[in-house]
Amino acid sequence: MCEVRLTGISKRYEGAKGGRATIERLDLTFPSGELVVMIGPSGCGKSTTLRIVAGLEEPTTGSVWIDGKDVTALPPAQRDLAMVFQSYALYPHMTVFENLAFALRIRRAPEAEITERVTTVAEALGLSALLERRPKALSGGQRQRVAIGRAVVRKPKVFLFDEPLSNLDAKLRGEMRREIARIHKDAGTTSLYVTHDQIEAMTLADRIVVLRDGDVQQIGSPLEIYQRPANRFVAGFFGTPTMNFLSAAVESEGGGRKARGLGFAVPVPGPADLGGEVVLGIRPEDVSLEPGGDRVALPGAVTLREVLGAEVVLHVTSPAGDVTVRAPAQTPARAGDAVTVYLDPSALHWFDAQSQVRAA
Amino acid sequence: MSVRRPKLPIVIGVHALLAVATMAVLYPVMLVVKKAFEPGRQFALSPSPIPKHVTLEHFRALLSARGSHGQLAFLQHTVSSLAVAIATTVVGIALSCTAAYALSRFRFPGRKTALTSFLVVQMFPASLLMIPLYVLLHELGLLNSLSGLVLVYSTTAIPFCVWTLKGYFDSLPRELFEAARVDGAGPIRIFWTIVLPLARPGIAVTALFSFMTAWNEFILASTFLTDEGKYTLPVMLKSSVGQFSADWGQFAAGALLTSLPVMALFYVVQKYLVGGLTAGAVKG
Repeated sequence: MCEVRLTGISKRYEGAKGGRATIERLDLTFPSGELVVMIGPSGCGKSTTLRIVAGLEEPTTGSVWIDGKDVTALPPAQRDLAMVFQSYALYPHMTVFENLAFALRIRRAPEAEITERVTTVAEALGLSALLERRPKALSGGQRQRVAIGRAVVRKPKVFLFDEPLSNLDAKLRGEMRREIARIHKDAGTTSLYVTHDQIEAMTLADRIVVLRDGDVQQIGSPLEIYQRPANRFVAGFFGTPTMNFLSAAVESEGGGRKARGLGFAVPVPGPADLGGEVVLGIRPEDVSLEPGGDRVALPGAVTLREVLGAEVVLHVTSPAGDVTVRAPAQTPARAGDAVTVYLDPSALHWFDAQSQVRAA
Repeated sequence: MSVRRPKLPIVIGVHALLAVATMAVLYPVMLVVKKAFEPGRQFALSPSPIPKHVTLEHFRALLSARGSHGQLAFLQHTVSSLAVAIATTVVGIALSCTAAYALSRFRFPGRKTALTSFLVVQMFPASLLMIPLYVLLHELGLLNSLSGLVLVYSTTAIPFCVWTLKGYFDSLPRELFEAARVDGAGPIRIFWTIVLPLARPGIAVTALFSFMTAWNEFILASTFLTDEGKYTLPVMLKSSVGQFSADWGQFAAGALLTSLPVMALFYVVQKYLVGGLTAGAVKG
């Protein structure tokens, strides 16, 4: 059990354009025993942050704390963490057994213990039959298992995963995802996991850190992130198809307030501190082709119908902008049909148009 | 993936060109082979590469020739040559492996300068370096000694070896070094357990090159070695065709024998020239 903490971490690269910081004053805590996923578009600083924790890169300012100890000045070898690389980074001239045993040998573990630990890990990961093979004689999935095994066998304080599944095909990725979840559940080791894949983040994480341009956008559980995105960026980053965004202006009307956009108007929820221009976000599953309740109507026309099997995704142009709708497979609407889409007001996410921050 | 078959005229054209090029390369060699097996001391003027009569007399004479102290001369020069070439290779590879590792993997003040100077010193031809090297060897008391020659060859081989090996080390995936660092390995262990085994092909090729350079070198050896007993094979060969008498038969036989070790080494090392050992390290 071991907490990882970053305080005031900045990273500037020499010669980077304008000396722009990749990461600027980052404060993050990775609680003991949790699997925390850092996610964001490429260049957001997630891998750099991980490498700073690993000790493979030095922060320009700030400190890294592992288990209450400042390890900023320590080399990777003395931080007692294990890392799984996107490219696997197996030692090509060593057998699977030697790859797994490498770190234990460096620590001068007794040969009997090495054999025992390697065998146990190999069994757990289904590598027992491959121990005498070289990495080049393994498939991609097997290589990634070895890479994970190499980390697990050490029983480190912290696991670091740097986009470990990006090189695998979809089916294997699903399998390995469950494997990693199982390993984390069994070992309970604090894990930092970097990915750009929102499904990995949603399914694996105890907690998600969303990064953009080196800034933390939001920290929360997968459901919090999905249900209450802190700003428009987070809202647009999670969910497939992505959230719909409609521009509107808040105006007083009679006793209450309404947000009026092109072709629609919705009542502003009571306590919301809103005024002027707003952006309304609504997920495709909260848009329907059926009227009902207090749903708000928006007229439009279908431009594209994508059949996904269990459901269809309809792309609708409306005066307020393009709206994506997730609808049951039997929905009859075809491209070219005029339709009215209905927005569920209780499912709306309200963002300030200027600051893009969540208002309600 | 299917490869489109080229058209017949193109195939014929390409092969004709290759045949001519091969002939151009092989013909002089064949003339030497012919002379080595043909009786007589003179080079025949016939352009045919096939000897009319075959004899081993030149080889017999060469191998049985005795030096001033009654020793087998060819054997003695072979030993000199081998000693110089092997020592140069060992010294050169040992020093340039470590230097190239440092230059490839670490950033330190003076790194750029070191790399540039290693590049620049290779631009000077041996004949230009001859005089300063002569003075240096004289000062060190190493003139007319094989160890002096090893020193000279190493200094000329190291810059080249460093650059080749650095290029090879650069091509090893960065993640391997990082994985080893996270696994707890220090720079020296990484060098021994990761870099050296993976760089075997690069080291083999570089070693072959330094061996060849030292084995074939003539100008410096003939300048610095004055004692006939210490001559390396190229110097000895050249001395067998003097101004007044020239035994081209023995010369050709000697040249063939001299090229045998290099050919053998090429044969051993060739698999490294083709295959990469890093396959399977990272994806794909």
